[in-house]
Formats: sequence, C-alpha cells, structure tokens
Amino acid sequence: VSVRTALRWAVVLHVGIALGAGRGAAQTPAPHFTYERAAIPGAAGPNRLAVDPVLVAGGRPLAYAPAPAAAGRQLTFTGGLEDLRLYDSSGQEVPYLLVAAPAPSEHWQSGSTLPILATKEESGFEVDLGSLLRIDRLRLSGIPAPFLKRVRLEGGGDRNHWSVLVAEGTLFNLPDERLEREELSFPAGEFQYLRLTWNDRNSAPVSPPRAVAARVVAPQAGALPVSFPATFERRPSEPRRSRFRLHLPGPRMPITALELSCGGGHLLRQARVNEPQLSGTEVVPVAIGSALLRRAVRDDLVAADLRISINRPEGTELELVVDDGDNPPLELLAVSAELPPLPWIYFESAAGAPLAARFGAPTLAAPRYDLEAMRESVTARQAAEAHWGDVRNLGPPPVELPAGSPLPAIGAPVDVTAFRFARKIPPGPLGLTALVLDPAVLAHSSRLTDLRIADASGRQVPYLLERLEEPMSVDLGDLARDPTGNTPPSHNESHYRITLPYDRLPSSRLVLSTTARVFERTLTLQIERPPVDERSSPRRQTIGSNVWRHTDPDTPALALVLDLPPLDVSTVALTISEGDNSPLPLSPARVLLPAYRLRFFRTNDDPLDLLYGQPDLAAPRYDLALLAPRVLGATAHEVHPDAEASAAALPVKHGTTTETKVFWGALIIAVAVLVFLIARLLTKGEPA
Amino acid sequence: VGGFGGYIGALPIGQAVLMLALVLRLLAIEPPGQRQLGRLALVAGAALAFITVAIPLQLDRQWITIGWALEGAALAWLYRRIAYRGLLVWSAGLCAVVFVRLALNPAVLAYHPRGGLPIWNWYLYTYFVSAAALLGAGRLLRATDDRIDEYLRVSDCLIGGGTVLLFLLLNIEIADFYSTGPTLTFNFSADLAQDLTYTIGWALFAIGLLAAGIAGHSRSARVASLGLLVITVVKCFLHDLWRLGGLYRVGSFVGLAMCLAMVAVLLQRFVLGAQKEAV
Repeated sequence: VSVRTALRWAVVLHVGIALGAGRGAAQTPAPHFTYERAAIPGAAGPNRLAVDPVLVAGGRPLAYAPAPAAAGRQLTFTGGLEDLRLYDSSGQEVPYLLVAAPAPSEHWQSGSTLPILATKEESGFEVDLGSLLRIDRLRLSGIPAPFLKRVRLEGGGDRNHWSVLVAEGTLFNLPDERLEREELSFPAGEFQYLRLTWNDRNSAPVSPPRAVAARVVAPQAGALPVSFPATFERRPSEPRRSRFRLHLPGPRMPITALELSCGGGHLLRQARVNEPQLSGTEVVPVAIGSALLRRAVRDDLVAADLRISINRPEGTELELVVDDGDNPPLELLAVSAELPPLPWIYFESAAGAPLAARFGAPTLAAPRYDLEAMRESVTARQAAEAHWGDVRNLGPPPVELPAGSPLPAIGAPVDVTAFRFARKIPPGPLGLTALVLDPAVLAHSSRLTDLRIADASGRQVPYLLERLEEPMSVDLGDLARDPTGNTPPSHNESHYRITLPYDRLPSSRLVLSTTARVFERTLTLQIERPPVDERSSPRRQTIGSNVWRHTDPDTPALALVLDLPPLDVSTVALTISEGDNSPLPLSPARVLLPAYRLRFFRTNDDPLDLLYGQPDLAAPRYDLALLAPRVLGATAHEVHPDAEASAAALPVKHGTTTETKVFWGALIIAVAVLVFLIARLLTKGEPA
Repeated sequence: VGGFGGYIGALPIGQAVLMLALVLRLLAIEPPGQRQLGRLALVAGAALAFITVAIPLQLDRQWITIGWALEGAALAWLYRRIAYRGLLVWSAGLCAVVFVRLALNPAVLAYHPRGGLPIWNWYLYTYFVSAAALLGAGRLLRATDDRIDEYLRVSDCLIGGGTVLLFLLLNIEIADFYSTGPTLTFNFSADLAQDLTYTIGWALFAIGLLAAGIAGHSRSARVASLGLLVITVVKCFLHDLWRLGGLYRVGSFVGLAMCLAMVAVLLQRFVLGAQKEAV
C-alpha cells in the first residue's frame, strides 16, 4: 500500500510540476525592445559591424574597467549590450559576437625629415618612415616655442602620389597660455611618406622639428575614441556664470570627456560638469568633472583646449557651469561627448540580406551562441564592413511594476484635507517625471518638508527632492518708483519699490542691471518691519547694501547681485544714493530663487495632486535606496503644477465670541450665587 | 487642557460647589455653639478660595495674583462671620504677598508684553482689582478685632497697601502710554509732556487722596496727600518747568509760590486744624 501511495504522490507531483512549468512558460513575456535598426551586411559571409553611439545609448550600458598601465589605455571593454539581438527577414535570430576593439598600439616609428622648397606662403618638410606602415598619428617635437601655425598633412606610398590626410589643422605650443598641441590625428592608413606644409601667410616660418614620429596601429583599427554631438540648452543663471543643460541620448553612457566649441575670442574660464546624484535624502548636483577652458586667438588662428574630462555619468542630464568672470556669457556653439574605443560586432550573413537589430530591453539576459567558439579567430578573419540603417523607436517598455516588486510605486495614504494647498499635476507620459517647484511652493511650504504627491484616492506617490544648482529666475519687471521714500533735502536719492511674487520666500538674490556705463552708486535694500506693538509705528530694517560701480564706457555694466535673506514680506524698498548725478537708469529686475524638482515615477494615468501647507508635517521617509536608481538613471519628463489657488480656510477650533460671552455670564452668575449661598449659610458672628 | 482652556473657570466653580456641600454638612452635624470654628473656617475658606479664583483663571495674565487678592478680601469678609483668628492671619498673609508681588517686584512688569491698548490693559485690571481687594479687605476688617499690637492694625496696613498699589497703577499707566517697544519703561526726564503728565497725575491723586482722607476722617491720608502734593508742586516747578526759559521760568516761580501758599492753607485747614480729631 505504501509503495502504491508513494507512486500516486509521485505522479501527482510530476503532473503539478509539469503544469507549473507550463504555466510559467506561458507567462514568460516576450522581450520588449525599445529600438529596431537595420543592419546591412557588406557581403555574404563574415561581417564586421561597428558599435556606434546610437547603439550605446539605446542598449544596455557598456562596461569598462581600468586597464593595466602596460596596455597603454585607460579603459578596457568588459561587457554590455546584453540586450542586442539580430534577426533575419524570417524572424530567426542571427548569432553574433561582441568583440573588444584591439588595443591601439603605442609604438611610434620615428622618421627622417627632408625640407621641402619654401615659398613666401609655405614651408615644411617630408617624413620618410623607412617602410610602408599603417599609421594614424604624427607627432612633432623640438620646435622652438612659441608658435601657432596652420598646417596641411599629406601621405603617400611613394613621393609622387599624395593623399590629403589633414586639409587644415592647427599645431601650437604657447607656454604662456599653457596651450600645446604638437600631434596630428588622421584616419589610419598605410603610408611610408608624410608631407607637412606650414601655412606662413600670416605668421613667421618655424624651425624644422628636432624629431618626428608616427603612431603605428594594429591591422584591425577601430580602437580610436568615438565622439558624438550632445544637445544642450542655455539655462537661467546668475550674473558672471553661464549654465547649460546637456542632454545625453541614454543613461550610463561611458562618456570620458566633453569637448566644447565656443564662439568669441580669447578664453580662460573655469568650467564644471555636474550631475544629479543622491546624497542623504536629496538629489543634489555633484561635480563629475572640471577643467580650465583655454583658448588663444592670433590673427585667424586658434589654439584651444576646451576638453573637460568627466567621470561616467549615470543619467541623461548633465549641467555645464562656466564661471564667466567679468566677461560676457560664454557663447557655446556645440558640445561633443567622447566615448572610449567601442567594441565591434561580428556576424555571418547567409545571403547578404539586411538584418534587423533590436535592442533596448533592460531585463533581457545576454545571449549564448555557438558562434562563441569562433571568438579567438574572428579578429584575424577577413570580414566585410556592414553598416547601420535607420533606427526606429518601438516605444518604451511597459512601466507597470511586476507583482512583488520591491520598488515603492505607491506609498501610505495621506489626509489630503489637512493641506492648505492642493495643485493638479498635469498629465504626462508614463515613467520618470520631474515636477518643477515654483515660487508659490517655496513660499507656502514649510521648508519643503510638507510636500506630498497623492493620487485621487489619497495614496502617496514616493518622490525624491532634487536640489538644482541653477537658480530659478523670476522676472520682476520694471521697478516702480516709491512715492513714500523719505529723502532728506541734502541727499539726492532715488527710491524704488520691489515687489516680490510672494512673501515668506526663502533666501534669494536680487539682480539689477542698468544701461549706464560709467557710474558709481550706493544701493540699500530695506524692508518694513511691523511695529513691535500695536501702538508703535512700522520701522525700516536694512537687509543689504552694496556699491555698484562701472568705469569702462566701452562695455556694458555687469549686473549687480544683492543677497536677500528669507523674508516675511513681499515688498522691498531700494534706495540709490545718486550723489550729484542724474538717476541711474534701471532695467527690469529679476530675483533668483533656489530651484527644486520632485522626481517621481508615474506608473498610470491617474490624476495626481501636489499637496503642501501643513507646517507641522515632517519630511516623508520613502525607501530611497530602492527608489534612487529608478529616478536618477532615466530621462525625466519635466512638468509644472497648475496654478495655485487661494488657501483653504483652516477649521476654527476655538469657541465663538457668542459662546465666550455666554460662558462669562454664566461664570459670573455662578460666582454670585455661590457667594450668596455662603453668606446665607454663615451668619454674622458665627457662634463657636 | 485638552482644548478646554477657554472654559477653565468652570473647574473651580465645580470644586466650590463640592466644598459648599461640605460646609452644609458641617453645619448640619455640628449644632450652633458646639462648632469647631477652625474646621468650619478651613472648609468655608477653601470654598471661597475656589470661588474667588474662578474668574481670575479665565484671565491669561497675572490671574494668580488677582486670585490671591480676591481670596484675601473674601477671607476678611469671612472673618466677620467666623471669628477665627487664623482667617485674619490668612487674609493678611495673602494680601501681603499680593502687595509684595505687585509693588516690590519690578520684574512683574516684564512677565507679559505690553498690551495693545493704552490704559485698558492688563496692568489696569491686575493692579486695580488687587488694590480694590486690599482696600475692601481693610474696610471689612476695620469693624473687627484686627489689631496686631497696640498701635498697628491689619486694616490700616491693607488700606495703605491698596493706596500704594493705586499710586503705582497711575504711574504704570502713564509710563505705558509713553513707552515704545515690548517692555514698559519709566522715564521721568524724557520730555515736557511726559513729565507734566506724571505731575498732573500725581496732583490729581493727591487731591483724590485728600478728599478721601477728609471723607473718611483719616488724618494719615490727609498728611500723605499733602506730602504728595508738596512733592508734586516742587517737581513741577523745579524739574518740569525748569527747562523753560526767560519769562516762562519767572512765571513758573510765581506759580510755585501760589501753589505752596495754597498747600499751606490746606495744611492749616485740614491737617493742623484737625489735631484733635482722632486718626
């Protein structure tokens, strides 16, 4: 009986397991790819396809590790792009290998030089490397500094046929400006001879170099860093500082440096690149790179070093901050992001027909193909150059959290009626959302600790408070003359009334600008304090004073920035001591407030409200450690809350005036009755 | 107090009702002539204490001082009903504490910020009610055996203390009227208007005290009033009007002479002429 029972249980267990496995297989969702892109083979058979920034931005992040110093490289590719799949026209998966680019050779081959015939406009020399070599870089040394020259570089297998490698390059060594560039990069090719021609039209000829060398590269090139343009926008900023927000095409891109292109002339400014990162309970800007931007312009030649090395960014938004000093705002023309040498893709095409490459599936595991057996030999195989077609966005993956997910999408319920202010958050796309806090929130929230986001049923939506380094600029318009300004007869003063958007604003900065160019004025800011008691008069308190001076008639005056402490009033009086001069013309003023955003994850289309105005409420405590990776590593859709309505009246908890009067009457009557009773009970001369 | 702070005065009323029930019970179990006055005085005094503290509890400033003053007056009244010596001592002690707290403790003026209205403020009800309580207690005790020794009576002390409190109230209200800032400031050499306000106030107080002394046949009150009047006149002409120049100063001396002559007449008429009158 026991054996039969055991068998029966075994059968039941097997059936159950089979059913469970079947159900599990049925529930395994098909991978959702965000991007699809055509991969066009160069020919049937082995193909080589370069990984480019588009693929890097859309696929799983590339991983790099510091390479041994002996390798001569800073980073070595170790993995990534696990979500990349190639499909043929019938939907069958095509195996591929992701192959690390060969390390660039650090072997430099020196060459002998032979001057070329100099003219009034040109001079130069030819370089003989001794044999035909695959090279990609030329290095000169021993040219007496300083110099700044425009050059043309040509290469050839013999001395009769030349190919232009660099049509118009610039080489320089300016010790005073600490600018030096004595190497020329060019597309790798096989050359024995190089010809460098100096352009002497606008500068004196330079002496021949003491030594010349060319960098020899491996047969399989492609190990050069790759750059791609990054979009950017100018952001509001305080005077003497330029701020730009850079948008990267994807999170966790292995960017190593940013190269700026700027307009204008000479340049010597400190620049810093920030990225929002979690610090404690807030998201704050953290510097991930900095550099001193240098550029010297002589005639029409430019020597510049506008490269900023950065640590790998986590998200898709970077902030570039440039200290302008006493110069005009930086004229930023372009930004290119530099990636380390990228891997390449090896695949075999049966008929040379186009393939479909799909990527952008965050949870997809790396594929395992039998093609892996070929990895050691693919670098030596002759492969046709495949190329990419257009990319197509298939839409973001669904954002609904899987059951049992530890990520906090919804928090505890909150009593929405306890908040004085409730503002609608406009609908937007699902995913990461950044809600910009405006001056009304800063004025009416209690140190931002009482901020809550709630859905229609009153459940909280967890958020991270992000403090931006850039200020929030609020235009105040033209300053109004203050007719109540008290001017002693002996003083020539101008009085203005500055109206801030709200009272109870936090610390801020007032920015004043003028069209005048030569002036010196003393400015004083005052606020009207309430009387110390009901019988005293209001008094004025000085909250700031500064001397504003500009002496160069050829340049516009820099704006004046005056710090404002936290104020409980919305009107500030500005007094300008004009001396014996005419009133200083003032342009529209603005106030700079601290800027904050709330980063939260929108998982459905439910309407959301921003709640605040509950002074006793402590800061929320969400599971930030779990939330942070989701709200920092993705592109945020920025929204602004709807306009603030007037404050709701708080319930009055004290008794009404009528109730108070009735109580006082009753109390007096009760006292009188009790006194009367005692008087009646205790007759005069109570006998012992 | 759980949100019932606005009705806290109801609590001592309830406690007074309970104590009154005890008084009733005491009177019922002890027939007249066999009662222990000490016990009856204690219970009745406690009932009065609750009654007198009911209204001051509703006030938010100096309610305990007012309560003590009213309790002192109530005990003086009770002493007329129950001739128990402890009641006299209790009443005198409470009134003494009130006097010390309001007259000899300058810090009492800084316990609370100044009110929003001149005259009609917490100084008025605190000092006036306390002074009235002391004067009332003194008045009630005059018909009793309240002698402490051969020369000193509790009633005289209480009436004197009440008068001093009224005089202090007068000066406090004047100082409050001219003060700026959250605290009260006495400034006897500020400007002519403030100085003259003090002078006029003192003069009116002295005249009022003189009238009270005449009406109440109190020689000490009359002497005090004339003394205050002399001080007031001297202050007026030698301090307040001293800053005037030329003929105004001459005129002030003429006025001083006339006022002193008037004081001499009053002194002759109401003080020296009443030597035979009992104090």
